[in-house]
Amino acid sequence: MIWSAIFVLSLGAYLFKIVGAMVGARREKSKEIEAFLLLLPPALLSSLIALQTFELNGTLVLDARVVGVATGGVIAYCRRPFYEVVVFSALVTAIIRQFG
Amino acid sequence: MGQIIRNSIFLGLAVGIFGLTFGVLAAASGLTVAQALAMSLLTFTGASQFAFVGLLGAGGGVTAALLSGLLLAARNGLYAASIVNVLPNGLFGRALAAQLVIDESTAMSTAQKNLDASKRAFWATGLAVYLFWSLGTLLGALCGDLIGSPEIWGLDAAFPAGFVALLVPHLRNHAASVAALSGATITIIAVPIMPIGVPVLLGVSGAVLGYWRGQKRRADS
Repeated sequence: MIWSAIFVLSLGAYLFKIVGAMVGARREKSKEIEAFLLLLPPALLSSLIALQTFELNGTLVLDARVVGVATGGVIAYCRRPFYEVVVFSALVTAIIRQFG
Repeated sequence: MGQIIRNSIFLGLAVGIFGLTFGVLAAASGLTVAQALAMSLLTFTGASQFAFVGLLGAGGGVTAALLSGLLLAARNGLYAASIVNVLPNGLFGRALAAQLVIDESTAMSTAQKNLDASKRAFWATGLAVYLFWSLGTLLGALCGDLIGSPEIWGLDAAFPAGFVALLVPHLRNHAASVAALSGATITIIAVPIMPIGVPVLLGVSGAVLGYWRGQKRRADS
């Protein structure tokens, strides 16, 4: 049962990817469509940020992650390297959890 | 070493640590080592995998786990459409590249200044993440409960913080900022009232609002 579900999920996940790649390729590219497509990543990325910063088991919570992500945000805004953002946000979050 | 390769490896390593946790969680949810590894090699989209094993472990049933996983996987189709110029033109190459279309490869690719760099960033990030994610999963599933929870290491915050770093280069104009802000807002509003996986999909509509604002601003000026 679990194996079947894994294969269906994998097939479905791949179909999304390949359909996107094929449909996107065939579509006539106008300036409007490109302008719109360029807005998808920021909308999705910020949605993921919001979800992974504030969501826990289907509800909204304020916990150590907020401070960690905010720290990472400041470092990212200063255009520091990617790994600094990741390491310091994790570090701040872990420290707050230990001593908070 | 080129900056693109270096960033890809750092990102891959960070994702690999998450792969470790995924392996541990998958094992804790009753998946075998082979099943956990198969998920990372075949499904290869982290949020879907976490949702799938999370719901299995919480006794949510296979159907709910599957649907949530699929809902979370849908955004990869949008990603693939948005970076289609970066993907190879040949059918085989495109079919292969499609498997590597995920949050990280899309974000790194779109953050580059020209098409050539975007292509390199896509492949470097996609392959690095694929490798480390799968290796991490294997190790995590084998080690079982030695790793502990990702929360102890603050890794659950490292992920969204990494996305912030990837978001910053996108905020080039007013429309992009509106798209980002409304995407996050819609997701936050949807979290308490929608099933897992739906809020982040609704957040995509932030792009529509951003586009509308961009057109309006252009018309006004």
